[in-house]
Amino acid sequence: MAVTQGTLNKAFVSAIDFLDQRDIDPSIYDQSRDRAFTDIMKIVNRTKPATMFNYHNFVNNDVYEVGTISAVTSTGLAQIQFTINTASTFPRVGDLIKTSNSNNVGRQGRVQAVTFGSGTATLTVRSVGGNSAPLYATVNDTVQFGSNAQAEKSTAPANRRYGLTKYYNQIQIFREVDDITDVQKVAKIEVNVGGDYHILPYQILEKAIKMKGDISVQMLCGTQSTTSFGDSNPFLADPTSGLPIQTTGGLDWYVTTYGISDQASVLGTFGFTELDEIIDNFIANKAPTDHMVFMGSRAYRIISKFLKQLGSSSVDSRRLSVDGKTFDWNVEHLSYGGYEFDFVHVPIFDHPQLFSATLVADVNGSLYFVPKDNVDTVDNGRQPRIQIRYTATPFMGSSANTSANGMVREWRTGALAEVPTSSEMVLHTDWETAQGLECIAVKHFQKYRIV
Amino acid sequence: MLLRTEADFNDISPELRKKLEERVKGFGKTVRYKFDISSENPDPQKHDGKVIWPNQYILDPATFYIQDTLEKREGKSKSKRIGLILETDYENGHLKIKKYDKIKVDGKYKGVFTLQLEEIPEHFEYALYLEMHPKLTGGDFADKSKRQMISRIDEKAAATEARKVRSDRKKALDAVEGMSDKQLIDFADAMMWDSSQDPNVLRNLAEELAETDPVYFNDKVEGKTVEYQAAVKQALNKQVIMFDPADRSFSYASNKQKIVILPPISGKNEVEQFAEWIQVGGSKEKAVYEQIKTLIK
Repeated sequence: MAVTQGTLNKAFVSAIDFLDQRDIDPSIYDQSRDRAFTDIMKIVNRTKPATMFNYHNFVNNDVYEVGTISAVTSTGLAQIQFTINTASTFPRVGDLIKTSNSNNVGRQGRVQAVTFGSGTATLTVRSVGGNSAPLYATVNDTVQFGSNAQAEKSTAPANRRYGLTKYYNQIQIFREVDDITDVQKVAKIEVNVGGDYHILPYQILEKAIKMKGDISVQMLCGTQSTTSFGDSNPFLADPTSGLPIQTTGGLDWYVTTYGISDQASVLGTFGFTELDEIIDNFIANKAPTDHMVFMGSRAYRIISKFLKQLGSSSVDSRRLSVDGKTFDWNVEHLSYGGYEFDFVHVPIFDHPQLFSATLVADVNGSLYFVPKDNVDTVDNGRQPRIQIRYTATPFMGSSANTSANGMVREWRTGALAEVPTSSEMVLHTDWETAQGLECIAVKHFQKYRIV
Repeated sequence: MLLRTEADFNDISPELRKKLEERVKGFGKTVRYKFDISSENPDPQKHDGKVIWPNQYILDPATFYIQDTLEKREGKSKSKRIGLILETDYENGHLKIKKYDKIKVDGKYKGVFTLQLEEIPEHFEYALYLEMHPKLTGGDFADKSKRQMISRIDEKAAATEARKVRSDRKKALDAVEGMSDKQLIDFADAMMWDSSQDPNVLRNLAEELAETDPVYFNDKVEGKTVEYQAAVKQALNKQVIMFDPADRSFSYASNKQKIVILPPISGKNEVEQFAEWIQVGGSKEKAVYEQIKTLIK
């Protein structure tokens, strides 16, 4: 550049290429916040190895059954006869029964004879109280078989066989990949990750978040595939190889398939009516009384507003505790009707690209109740209610270009890997994991949509 | 009364209420609704059967809007809000619905919800409610954007249909029993069976058809269809007439004179087509039939 005369100003220096410095913040800021939004550790934080790609568990059946009267032959007598709808052959001679009929308050009957039809049982019932305490039956009365009474030198009552119900879910294979050339791998950029001014660490972090998010979404609301790895003629298959693909059912699938699924009569409202309904649903299913309640912000706001803006004037004075600086509207715990609820706001429900109110409205606006306890086995053992099952890694040994955390395996190939595996100047990184969700005794889980 | 008019709920026109009540009364003592809530058992061993049902299904939406086109009352909107009202309360001077009833289907009944219309008043109202529900298949207020997962099992219609099938079957079996050997051979020819088989074999074939497809059988034996088809088949067997599949034509075997060329596309075989041509035809076609009858004697 030729020598010139004049005052040295900014324009002169800026005209010389590459002479100006640039003030670039080297950090990459997490604006997408997908890592924070896809974490489901609050919901599932337990893992257990699986020996196969599908896993089963059995639950016991109810010891008692309730019948509904569908026809009445005789009523108002010391010995009456009626027919109940029953899915099984539960009633037997010797059962002591009580019914919902208001005329039978304080009265009990003994089943003297049972005749089974198709889905029905006709019972002849004699009042324990004799002629002075006749029994009544009307259609739609419900009947419990609470006890039994036998005579002296009796023969054995009919034997009941209790079945088991099996629940089943399967492992899903998740994969992610990254590819970078030799040139871009060493070319430096202006921003860094952990002091490393290359694009690769950033790419790998994004991929890791995406893969973790994929797993979280599937564990929360994945649908179990009807195809499994064992299918010889799979419906869901790789279009190229024809080999089967299986998916795991998530929490939402478990609850809607096997558990309790209900919703507010008028969406957007929540009050004691809905709370009572939730508890009644639990009682009907003999659920434990202590629950975690997972939800997104929309649902949480409605619950908090209801609980802190109680309409009754008698509780106005204790609506909110304000210390002068903080105004806390979040309700974290509720004790009501003998039940304990811990409300947990889980950000993934609010994720605008995964479960927004318009994308997946039912998940976004629902409360998911999961019992806090470990579920008992019939012989007094215990298992967590909800856990991730994962299979052992199929990889052999260890080498410089592989690493694993026990559940997710990473391996690097190409000429740029620690141990070069080809002559092509690329670094190819793979991640693989095989995981599924397991919920146990799902009858006690509840999904209740409120918005 | 669950469907009583409270606040802005259930204020349907008297005409619509009457129409629905008459419909529900027409179902008889009971009506059953089938809820499509089952799913294929994912368990490969099908331990609990091929199909599984949720422990309890609760119908949603519990409250919904319908368009009451029969509403003519002044100042009343045609848009009606429907819900089963259990409890009401006053809040700030306004009537508020405190609790709604819901339709709950227990898994043990495999998706079938039975309503005792005459014995239980609430069940009558459940039926009215379900008849207005947007998820009722073929319902007056079915919302096509929602999955139609409720279907009514019309007991009367089901019973009438079952009785009709039974009575058709009886009629068909009676007809086979009353057939002479000649009629049986005619029927076998009309069915394109080998009519030279033993009469017992033919009778067994005819009885099987009468039992499995009585409507078809009765249609066949009633009227003159069998007679015409039998004549055509017998004429073919005795080589009185010939069929040329190349141009689908029938002609007299003796002088090769063409009788008719049949249309190429038809769901019927050539014997049925030719018999139909005679049956629906005029004097010329009838003359052909008389000629064939004379020749096969």
